Amino acid sequence: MRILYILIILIFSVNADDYFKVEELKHPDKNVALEIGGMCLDKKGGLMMTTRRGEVWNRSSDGKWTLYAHGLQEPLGIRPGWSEGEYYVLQRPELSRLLDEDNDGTADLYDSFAKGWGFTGNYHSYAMAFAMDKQGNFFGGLGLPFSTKGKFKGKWLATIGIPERGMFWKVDPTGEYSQVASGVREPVGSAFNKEGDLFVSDTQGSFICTNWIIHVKQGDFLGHPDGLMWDKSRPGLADKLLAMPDDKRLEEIDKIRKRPVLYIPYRKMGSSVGGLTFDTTEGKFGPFAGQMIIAEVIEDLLMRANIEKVDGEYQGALFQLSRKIGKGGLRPVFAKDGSLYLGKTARGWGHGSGLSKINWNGKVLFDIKEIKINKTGFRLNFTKKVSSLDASTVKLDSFRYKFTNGYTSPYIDKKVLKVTNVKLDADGMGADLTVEGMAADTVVHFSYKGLKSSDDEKTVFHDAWYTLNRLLK
Amino acid sequence: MRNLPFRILGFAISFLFISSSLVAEDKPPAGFEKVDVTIKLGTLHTDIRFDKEVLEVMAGQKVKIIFKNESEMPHNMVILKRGASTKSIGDKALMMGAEGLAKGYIPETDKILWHLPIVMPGKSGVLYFKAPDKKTILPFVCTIPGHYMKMVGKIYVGQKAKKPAAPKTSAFEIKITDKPYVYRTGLNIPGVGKKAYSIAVGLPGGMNFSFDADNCQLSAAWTGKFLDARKDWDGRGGNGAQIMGKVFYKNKDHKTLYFPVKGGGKPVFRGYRLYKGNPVFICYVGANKMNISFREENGKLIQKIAVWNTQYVTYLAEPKSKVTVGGEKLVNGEYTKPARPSDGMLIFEVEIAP
Repeated sequence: MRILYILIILIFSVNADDYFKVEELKHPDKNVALEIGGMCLDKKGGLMMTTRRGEVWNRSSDGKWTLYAHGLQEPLGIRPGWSEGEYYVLQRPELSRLLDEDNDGTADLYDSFAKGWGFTGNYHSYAMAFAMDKQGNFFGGLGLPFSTKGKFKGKWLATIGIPERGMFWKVDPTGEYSQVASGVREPVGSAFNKEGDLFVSDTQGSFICTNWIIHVKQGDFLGHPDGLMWDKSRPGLADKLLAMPDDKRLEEIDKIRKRPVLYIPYRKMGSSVGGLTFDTTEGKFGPFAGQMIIAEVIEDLLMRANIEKVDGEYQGALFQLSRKIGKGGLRPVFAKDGSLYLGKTARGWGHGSGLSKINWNGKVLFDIKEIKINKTGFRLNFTKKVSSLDASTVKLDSFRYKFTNGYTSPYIDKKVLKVTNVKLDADGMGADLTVEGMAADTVVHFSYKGLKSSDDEKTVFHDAWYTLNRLLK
Repeated sequence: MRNLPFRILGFAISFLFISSSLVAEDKPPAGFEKVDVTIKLGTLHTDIRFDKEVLEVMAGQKVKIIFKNESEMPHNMVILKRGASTKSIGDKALMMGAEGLAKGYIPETDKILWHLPIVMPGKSGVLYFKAPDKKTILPFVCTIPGHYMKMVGKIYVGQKAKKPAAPKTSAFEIKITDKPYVYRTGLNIPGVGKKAYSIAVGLPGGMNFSFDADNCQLSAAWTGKFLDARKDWDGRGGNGAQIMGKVFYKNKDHKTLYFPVKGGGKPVFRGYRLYKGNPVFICYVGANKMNISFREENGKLIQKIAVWNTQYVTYLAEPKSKVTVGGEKLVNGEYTKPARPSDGMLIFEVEIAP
C-alpha cells in the first residue's frame, strides 16, 4: 500500500500543464490527513478546510496552518458566518455554527444550529452540496444511504424510510429547516451564479442518467424518485408511481423530472463529479471568465461550461479545461487574486488528496470558448482567431439518455446531425453553424479534431457536449 | 512519466461500472451435480474487500461457492495453494498489462488451484472444487489490479478458523495526549449497536465516554485506549468508530433523567462548548435548559448535571451501572434532588465506577 502511495505522490509531483501552474500546498504535519471535504475563503484571504477526519484547518494567506476545530462528523461543507471567528459547517447529522469565543483562533462553541433530517449512521448518508446565499440562507442536499431494498428499485441507494433522504433543503438564518426540492441522489457540490441561481452537481447512478449539473429551484423534482416519499409539495405522488407497472413508472418519472443544465457524459468527462464554482476572476484565470468550473473526483480532469437561458431555463455546453491538474478534485474555490484552490479527497473511490493551487500562466488555450444555440443551429466563439472553417471541421451527433433504474443509462436515438452551412465571422473569432435535425431533450456532441487556429494551432481537446433541453423558438 | 502499473490500473478503472454479460454459468461440472457444501460469498460495498474473509470447509468436501458481486467494480476470486502469497500473485496479475483483462487477470503460475473469471458489478459467478483431503489453509484473492492488497481471505480446510483477535493497535487509532479529544461518529458500542449521534470524548489518563446527542445522555464509558476510526477513515468509511478500551458503562435506550417538563417533549441537543478541550453539552427539554459535563476523578467518571427552570430532577441509573452520589449507593437506582426555589436551578453530580 505504501508503495502505491509513493507512486501516486510521484505522479502528482511531475504533473505540469502548458496552461496552468499547479502547486501542491502541503500541510507541514505529515500526520494530518488532508482529505478535504469542504472549503471556503476565510475573512482574511486565507482558506478554511474541513477534512474527512473531522478537522477544520485554516491556512492563512501567508501559508500558516492552524487547527480551528476538530471532532466533527465528516464535515463536507463550510461557509463563513457573520462575525469574526464564526463558521457554519455541514456535518452528517446537522448544520453547526462554530464560534471562536475567546479569539484564540480555535472554535469553542459548537452550536447545533439546524437539524431536520434523519440519520442512522449508514455510511453513504452524506450531507453535501452546501451553499449560502447573500441573505444568509443555507442550502444543502441529503444523499441516499446504501441499500438494495429501495421501493423504486434503484440500485444500491435508497431512502429506506430515513426522513428527508433524497431532498435538497434550505435552512433560514434562524435555523429553520425546510424542503426546497426532491430527487437528488448523492449531490456533491453547489454554487450560485451572479444572478443568484443555484446549481448543484449530482452523481451518476440509478435514475441519474449520468453525472450532471442541475439548476435547483423551490418545488423542483430533480430525477431520483426516492426523495418523492418525503416531498411535501407532492403528496401522494410516490404512492401513485409505486402502484404503476415498472416501465410505465419509469416513463412517468422521466416525463416529470427536471432536465439538468448539463449532462456530463460518463467516462468521457470523468466518472465522479465534484463540486463547482463560477470563474469570477474577470480573466485572471484565462479566457473563460464567467464560465462554470467543475471538478472531478476519480479522474484527472477539470471541466468548464458556458450556460445560457433558453425559454426561461438554463442549458449549456460542457468542455474540458485541463487533464493535468491531479485527481481527487472536490472543492474548487477562487481566491481574489485569480488563483483557483482545489480541495481534493479520494476516499474509497479514487486517488488523490490535499490542496492544490492552480494559476493560469497567461497562455491562451485554443478551443471553442462557448457554444450557444441560435434559431438555425449553433453559434461558436473561439479563444483564438480561426481563418478557415467548413462543414466538415466541426462534426455533430446527438443522442438521448435512456432513463433507467439501472446503474448506467445507455445512449438512445443516436444520430449524426448535418451541418449545412458555416459562416465564419470576418474577424475569425466566431462562427454560425446551420444544423439539420436538432431536437429538444437531446445531447449534442461536438467533435472538432480538425479545428485549427489561423496560426495553425490545433486544439488540445476536441470534444464538447451541448445539453439541448429546449430549442430556441 | 506514467508508471506501468498505473496505466494498467487506469485501464482497469476504465471498465468499472460497465455492465456486461460476463457471467459464469451455473452448470456444474461432472461429479458436482450434488455438492457437500454451498458457500455464499459477496463483496463489501464500502470497501474493496470480500464480505467474508474466512471460510471453513471439511476435508474432501465438494464445495460450491456462489460469488455475488454487489460492489461497483468487477472482481474475481482466485484460490491459491497453501502458503502461496496473495501479494505476489496480485503483482503478477498487475504485470500482465493490457492483456490482463482478456485473461481475467489470471497470471501463469502453478500456485493457483481454482479461480472464477471476472464477475461484473451486480452479477454472480459460481465456482466448484473439491477440497483437499488433508487439513490445510488455502489463501484466496481478487487479482484485479488495485484489489489484491485488501481483497483477500483464507479457506480453512478440516479445521476451525482462528478467530481474529480484537485489534490492539490500529493505524487509525485516535490517541489521547494531554488534552481531551472530541470525536463525533456513529459509534459502535459493543452490546448496544451503532449510535449514529455519538459524541465520543477521550480524557487524558485513559477515561473515555460517549454522549448520545439524540437522547442527550451518556451512552458508554470505557477505560484504556480511545477509538479505532478505521471504519470512518479507511476505504469509503463512514461506518462509525470502534471502542478500543474496556467498556464499563453502556446505555442503549434507558432514560436516566426526569424532571417536570415545561413545554414537554424529547430532549433536544443544542451543541457543546469546549472548556480546556472538554465539552459541556447543552440540551433543552421543553423550556428547561440542561448542561451536562464529565470529568475523571479517582478512576471514576463524574457526570455533572445542571438544570434551569425546574422544581426537581430525578436521576434513574441504568440498571447494570455502578452509580453513586457522594459515594452513597442509590436506593432502587434512583436519586431525586429539589431545585433552588428562588430560581429553579440545580446542580448535582453522579459518579459512575468501572
